[in-house]
Amino acid sequence: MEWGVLERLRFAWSLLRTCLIGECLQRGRPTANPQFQNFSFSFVFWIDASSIGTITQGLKGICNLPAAQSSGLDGSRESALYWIGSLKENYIMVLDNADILSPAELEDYFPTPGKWGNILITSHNSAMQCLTLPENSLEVTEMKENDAIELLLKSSCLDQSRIDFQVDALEIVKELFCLPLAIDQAGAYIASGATTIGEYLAKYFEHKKTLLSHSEFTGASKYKRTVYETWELSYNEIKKRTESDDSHKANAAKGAMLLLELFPFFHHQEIAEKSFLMLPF
Amino acid sequence: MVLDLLQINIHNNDGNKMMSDGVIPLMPNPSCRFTGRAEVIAKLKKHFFNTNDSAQKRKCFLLYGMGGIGKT
Repeated sequence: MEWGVLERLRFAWSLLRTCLIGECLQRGRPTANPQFQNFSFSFVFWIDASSIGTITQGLKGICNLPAAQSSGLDGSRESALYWIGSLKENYIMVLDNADILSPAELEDYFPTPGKWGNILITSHNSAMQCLTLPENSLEVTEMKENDAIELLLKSSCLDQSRIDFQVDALEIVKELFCLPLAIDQAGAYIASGATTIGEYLAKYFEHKKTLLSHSEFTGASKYKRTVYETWELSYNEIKKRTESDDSHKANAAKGAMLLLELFPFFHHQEIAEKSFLMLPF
Repeated sequence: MVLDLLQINIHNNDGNKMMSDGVIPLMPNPSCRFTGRAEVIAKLKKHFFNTNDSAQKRKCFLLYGMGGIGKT
């Protein structure tokens, strides 16, 4: 019995490292812009601001940075904020996913000698503008059609110069409202070999009909449904592979399903490779 | 049972380290699939790297929009 579980996890891990889920996990991560790296900041503090708990964890982590430790921080949030605020170097603090905290609550986590330095906030909440001023705010909206096509072909691992692919891609990105997350998931599905780009929409529509009849989707926005559908298609493809005649493939897929059922209980940024390295094999 | 197994292993190997020491806040790895967004990038660069500012002062900027739209 024990070995049954271990075997399944081992297969799951091999799958994670090599193929489909590895790709899915990779895609679940935030996709920071490589061009932003060319910006010259001496320090980048990337704080997950989705809750007070995650901010606190991040600030504790800052206390453990070698540069901070030599300044004698005591591990408290105040000491971390004071240390950052007193830096003479040009730093940026990114408060990422500040969706739930109120602007006043978030402002408590700005570095304290507040004279210099840079702060970038990402949030669902446009009311955060009161912290930055409206002229220092920008709404991120859906992608331009051409960019969306490029993203879909990149994530599908298809030749971007082929006109026929571009034509198929245009139809798909229109249907997905040029929403990057949905497009990236659709691309992962196509790249997995579960469908061709030309047949993707037929599968998507077939699935949409079933999904829309679920009562839980009453009132969901068209955007949320789009992301749910693109994800669900990939999930079902893995499910299908559990019935494969190839027992190795079937077991790997079973392990993958198991992990996908576990991961929703984890914090979205804490699904580290490290968790798998700790498995006893 | 599987949940127990994972918890035991994570606990044994890491203890409560993550809880007490916090998480070093690293920038996520850049994505090789990052596409477009020229206007947003131009605006951010202009805001944070405008050298015409005489006095050095704090600069704050907000990117807002719904989930999955590509803010991070």
